[in-house]
Amino acid sequence: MKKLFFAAMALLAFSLQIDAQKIGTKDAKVQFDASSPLEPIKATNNSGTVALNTATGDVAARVLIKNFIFKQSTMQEHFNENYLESTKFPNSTLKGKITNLSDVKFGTDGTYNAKIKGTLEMHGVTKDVEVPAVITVKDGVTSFKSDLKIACADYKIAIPSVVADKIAKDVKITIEGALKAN
Amino acid sequence: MKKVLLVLLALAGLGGGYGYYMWNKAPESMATRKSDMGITSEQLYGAFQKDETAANAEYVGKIIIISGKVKESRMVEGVAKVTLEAGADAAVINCELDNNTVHPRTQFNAGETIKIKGECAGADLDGTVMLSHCAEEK
Repeated sequence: MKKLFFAAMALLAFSLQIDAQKIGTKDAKVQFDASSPLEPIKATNNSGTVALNTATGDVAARVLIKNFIFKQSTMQEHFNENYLESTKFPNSTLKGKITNLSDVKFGTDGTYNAKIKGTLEMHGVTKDVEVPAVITVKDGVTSFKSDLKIACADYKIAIPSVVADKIAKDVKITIEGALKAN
Repeated sequence: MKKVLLVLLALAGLGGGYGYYMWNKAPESMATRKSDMGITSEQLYGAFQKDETAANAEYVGKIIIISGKVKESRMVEGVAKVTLEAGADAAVINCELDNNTVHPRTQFNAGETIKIKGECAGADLDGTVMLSHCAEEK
């Protein structure tokens, strides 16, 4: 009976440990910047999702395009209807793996440079990507920040020649958030 | 001739001013937008669980009035968010309140049933459905 009890406790501890290995957020801040010298074009999305398995290094992130907020309604409309076609392609998803997982000490305070290799799906196009990320562990809280540079042409995002000078060809995207155990 | 020139200049000025106003206009408040449909949180979540592609085609971009029971209400870096129950334990609809709307309240009590109007943005990695630019509907 005693052995059975300890076995059950060990199993419970193991399952709790597995859960603790999965951390994430649904409140990641995603910033989009396609500014050119002629026009500031910026938007923020406050509901990005990031999921990270600290044991395997698996990373997944999803951004719903409709959640991007612009200051100007015209820019928001053009972004959704003409460029990202958000009704047809509602989300952008990154799936990958940290390739230098042994460099990231999730149990120790510090700032670690991680390399993520995987795929990025956007505007109906999926491409292989290598994405840098900074993982910070402080007082038990793990934070994630990644800066991506996306070429519009790679994802078949057509920029009309009339406005080509006003929109950057390479878009900067920053995604950051504090990751908690699920 | 001088009068015609002045009228043309005035018209050009008005046109330019209107164009500048339209370009810089903030997105419309959700409070004044017309809804496309009404649905419960369970029905919306269920549709995405059944067939995400079909649900995307049917709901994404639509202005939906959704009714459901509040699971939690929180403020994240100045952005008010409300989570509605949608049936099973992990089944939820996340609603982000519109920053171009003056909200009578941004905090909701867990367990109360409310109606929220927002634009359906799609589903998250775990199936959570998201409504953006939301406002409470009375």
